[in-house]
Amino acid sequence: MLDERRQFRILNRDFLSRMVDLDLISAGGDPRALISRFGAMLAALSLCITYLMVTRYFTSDLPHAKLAVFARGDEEFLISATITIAGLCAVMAWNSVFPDRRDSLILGLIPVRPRTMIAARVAAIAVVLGGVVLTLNICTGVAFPLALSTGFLDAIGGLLTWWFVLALAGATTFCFAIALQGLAAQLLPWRGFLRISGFLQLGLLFGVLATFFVAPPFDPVNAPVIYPSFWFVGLLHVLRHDSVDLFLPLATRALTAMAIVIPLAALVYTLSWSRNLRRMIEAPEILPAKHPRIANWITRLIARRPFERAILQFVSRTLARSRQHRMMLAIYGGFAFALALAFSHSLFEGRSPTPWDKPNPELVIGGLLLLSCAVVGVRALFAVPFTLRANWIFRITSVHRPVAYFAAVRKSLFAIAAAPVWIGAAIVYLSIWPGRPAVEYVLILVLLGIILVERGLNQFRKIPFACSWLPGSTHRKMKIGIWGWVFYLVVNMFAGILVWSLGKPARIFTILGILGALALYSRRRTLEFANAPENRVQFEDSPPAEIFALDLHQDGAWLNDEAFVDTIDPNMGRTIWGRLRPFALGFVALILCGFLYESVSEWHDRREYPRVGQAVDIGGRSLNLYCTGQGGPAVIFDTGANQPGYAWLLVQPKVARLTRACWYDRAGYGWSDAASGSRTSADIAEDLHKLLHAAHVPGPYVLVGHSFGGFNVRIFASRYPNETAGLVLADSADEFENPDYVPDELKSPARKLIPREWWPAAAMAAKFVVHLGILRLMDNGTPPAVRPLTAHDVGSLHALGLQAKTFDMTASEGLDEDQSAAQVRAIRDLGSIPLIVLTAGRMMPGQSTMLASYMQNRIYGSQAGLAKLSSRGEQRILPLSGHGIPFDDPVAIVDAVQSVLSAARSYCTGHEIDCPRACAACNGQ
Amino acid sequence: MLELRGVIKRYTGIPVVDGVSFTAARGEVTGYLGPNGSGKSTTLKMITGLIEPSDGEILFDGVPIGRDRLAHKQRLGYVPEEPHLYPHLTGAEYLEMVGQLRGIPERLVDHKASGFLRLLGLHGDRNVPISSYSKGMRQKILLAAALLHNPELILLDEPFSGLDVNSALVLRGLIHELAARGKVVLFSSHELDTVERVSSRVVILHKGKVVANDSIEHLRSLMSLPTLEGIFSQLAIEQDTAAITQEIVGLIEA
Repeated sequence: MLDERRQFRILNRDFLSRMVDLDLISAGGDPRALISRFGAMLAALSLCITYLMVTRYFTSDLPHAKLAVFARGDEEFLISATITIAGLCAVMAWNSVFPDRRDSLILGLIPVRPRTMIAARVAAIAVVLGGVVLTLNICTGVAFPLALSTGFLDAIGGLLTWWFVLALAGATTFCFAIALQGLAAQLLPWRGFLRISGFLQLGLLFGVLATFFVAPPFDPVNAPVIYPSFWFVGLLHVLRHDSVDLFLPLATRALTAMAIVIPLAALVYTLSWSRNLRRMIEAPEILPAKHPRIANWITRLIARRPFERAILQFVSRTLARSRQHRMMLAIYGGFAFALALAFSHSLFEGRSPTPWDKPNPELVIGGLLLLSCAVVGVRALFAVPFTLRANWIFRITSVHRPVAYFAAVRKSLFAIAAAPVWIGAAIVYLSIWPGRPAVEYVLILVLLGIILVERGLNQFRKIPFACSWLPGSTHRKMKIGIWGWVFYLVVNMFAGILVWSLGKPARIFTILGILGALALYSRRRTLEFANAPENRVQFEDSPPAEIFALDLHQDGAWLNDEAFVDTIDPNMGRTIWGRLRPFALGFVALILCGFLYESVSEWHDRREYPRVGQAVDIGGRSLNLYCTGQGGPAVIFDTGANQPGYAWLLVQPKVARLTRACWYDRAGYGWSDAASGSRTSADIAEDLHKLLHAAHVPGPYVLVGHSFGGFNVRIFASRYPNETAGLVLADSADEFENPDYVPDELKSPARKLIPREWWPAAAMAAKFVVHLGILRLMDNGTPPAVRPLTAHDVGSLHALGLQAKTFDMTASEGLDEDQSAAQVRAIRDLGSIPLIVLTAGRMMPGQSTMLASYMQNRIYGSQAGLAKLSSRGEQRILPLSGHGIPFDDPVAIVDAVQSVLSAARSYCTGHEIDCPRACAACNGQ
Repeated sequence: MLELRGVIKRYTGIPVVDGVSFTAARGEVTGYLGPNGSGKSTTLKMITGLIEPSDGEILFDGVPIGRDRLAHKQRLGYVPEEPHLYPHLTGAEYLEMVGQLRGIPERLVDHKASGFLRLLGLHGDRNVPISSYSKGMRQKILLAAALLHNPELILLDEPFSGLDVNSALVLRGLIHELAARGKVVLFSSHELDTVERVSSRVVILHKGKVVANDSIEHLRSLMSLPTLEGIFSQLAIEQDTAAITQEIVGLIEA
């Protein structure tokens, strides 16, 4: 007498244990342990979501109605997460849900009614699915409805409704997967179904992940119709009688989907037990293989030697035909796909600042992710054994040296993992991006792929799938967590650097050079390892050397020659210098390349932008001076920090119509030689004095100083009063400024980040790297010309600003700035020379209160104070000009110069005795 | 010539092969007999190099096999007792892989593999995965894989297992022919009739020790027993088979 209830219980227990595809677990693995860990992970996720998302509802002051509206997005997220997890369950259990050969061959011999088997299976599915949905929502499923409830009864109703909708969403998703698979099995010939089943499974995996990551923010009015989570949000609100009219269309979709999918799934599932069992027994599980000629041709192209072809074909066939390996590869691919979608979300929605047809971070990250996951994933799978007992054939036929096998494995990893990504990337990026950045990016992917393959195969002595695997030896769970985060950060940062570099030759060549060196180094290390005389192909995973030494194994578990496998010194017995030498050589090579790059670039710029002015020897070095115009007093222009004299190109020609006008390059700037030693304003003023005399430019002079140049001309005026006819200070630096009160917006990054006492050392280091071309590397190219400046003007200024000697002198002037300020502070007054202080008065919209206050104090305080240095001083505030007055308002400078000239000339008249020497010059003779 | 000198193999201190010494000469077929667990397969695996002996020496043509394992494997053909094959590969793919692993040129591999498949009656199933093969078909694949590279030393562990009558006859003749061409053939089997017909010498193992090592003719006359079965029963079987049979029937009918 058949006891159906007992049979049901036994079958249900067996089916439950087989719901997880046993092929996914390594040999000897425990499905219950896997399920427990999976459940714990889901519960932890639920707790985290509760803490991050739900607690704010309890603490919010918003009225309930508003809170409920605000919660719709979170409702959609939680339902979407449930749907995703249910979908992933369906993927994991793809081969376990429907009856298989075991059922037909084993259970078919035992007197069990089909209805008992079906019931047991359906019950197992319901238990697993229910368990997953319950675990995922174990915290949120209680906290979230309670947070939105208004009373006890409302809370009960909310809980029931919420769980009801979750259950329906999960069940509908799972039934969809069953219906998909079942329909394919019923409609297609059995062999055809076997062919596409794997692809359907992968398609479902990617579809589930894509739906989760690509779904836009929830909007009941404009909701796209394709997202199931939106439908169930609608159903939830309709069941709660909340804004029924608004949510009814979405709820209708949910009900329609359920009405189609669930009965269809039930139908095809029932049919599968009657139709498919017979087909299964008669047909093989794995399809017969075909021998496409093109595949053989490609194999011969990649692997010249027969045993290399054997390894390559074995690897590719195993990856394609082993369900376990295929599924694991899909998980890596799904991971890459999900991350790529998460990163490129904004690109698909048209919200990315960079268009898709130009190098953009989203697509750059996509390529990096695919390559990394392909290589890392396939390499990880190489270590997962497959039909381990059959590996004796490799042991028996290992008639070649180990290095030959390692080379064959390397070729396989390149051919199967890296090469398809390279080819795909070349096709995609060359199609959508301009030619040069696309080629550069593909080259970068090639080098990265080489590095990943070589590093991935470091210490790898196995023939793929043919070596045992000791549980826990890889600490995989811990490593994935840590390295996952590192990977995320590195990919993000590297993608930013790549987007910044693509299309810029210097940067790209630097990156390619570094990657190329790393690739060569990696290759060398793997070659050294492979050629180590005591190396062997490994067929048994052995514990670490410390454990091995305890001799705990059974006699004969390891061959004597394999016992040496773990004792190969990864650094080949090198000394510390031996290990560091490649890096030292690489570093030296990098420095030499940097020097060469900087030297060649400066030589090129000198040819492109020839000298404007003349070199004047001031004793051991020359300074560049450019003078035009006739008359006197001569007007001498001194620029701000990091600006060549050429920056006066909008001012000097206009002044040259009035009198003789000269600009010069301070030491190290423009076309002047650099100087050693201190670079205080006193040193600079002395240089200027020597220059003017060596160039026979007769005094007195009207000196115009912009920014830091203001310090220099003031020192000149105080040291050589008889040679100074007047001063114009264009937004000059002032000696009263306390660095602590300067807003951060106005400070350079160096001043913000580096403590003052480290400035000398930092300056020295910065000078060194600038001579290696780092400034040029980081430069974004010549800015576009803005009238009245021509392209040549802009190019000249840009090129002169990139010179290493200019950075040196700017840094030196910066280090001596305090001394310069002290020198200037010692000047109490400038007598009665004509003095005009031009002050930038432009306020930026939206600037901080602190900055506005600083500007006010500066304009009406310290700058106004400068005008009082002379009894004939005057301040002019320029409301439309920023600090760069020579470019923002050159006319104001010309007017100021004109005023000073007039004042100087008119003063001279009748004061010939008092006029600073050469009154004839004052009077314009 | 294959020579074993005092070969010992211990597992957790217990010798499963205990001081085994014998020779197998070229041109001879040497049968290696013994009850289950006597150490036959272990001995064969030691000869292949898959396991390391705990003590003793194994020489081929006077050279210890451990001196140059690569060369030894190049000359060795082995059919294991259990047909562990990669189930996802087809018969043709498996033979192609073995030929390639041994470095046989592509065209020769194709020629030999297709010939073996045809002659062993597997041509129609050459593109079917091995997972669908019957036991006998897998045995044929193992045989083909072992002989593909024309080995000098042929080790066969239960080669007749699963073979149909026709294939068994072919294999019997093949063993003779291979020995006649100067190969060293050592094969172990439980089918005493076949061993008696094929082998010129037998080595009988019992509890890891060699209890007989002689030509069959000589053993017959020495022990005055007409068949190898009788000799084997005398030397290697300790159980009362009739009593065991009765007990099993009793269990079934319980």
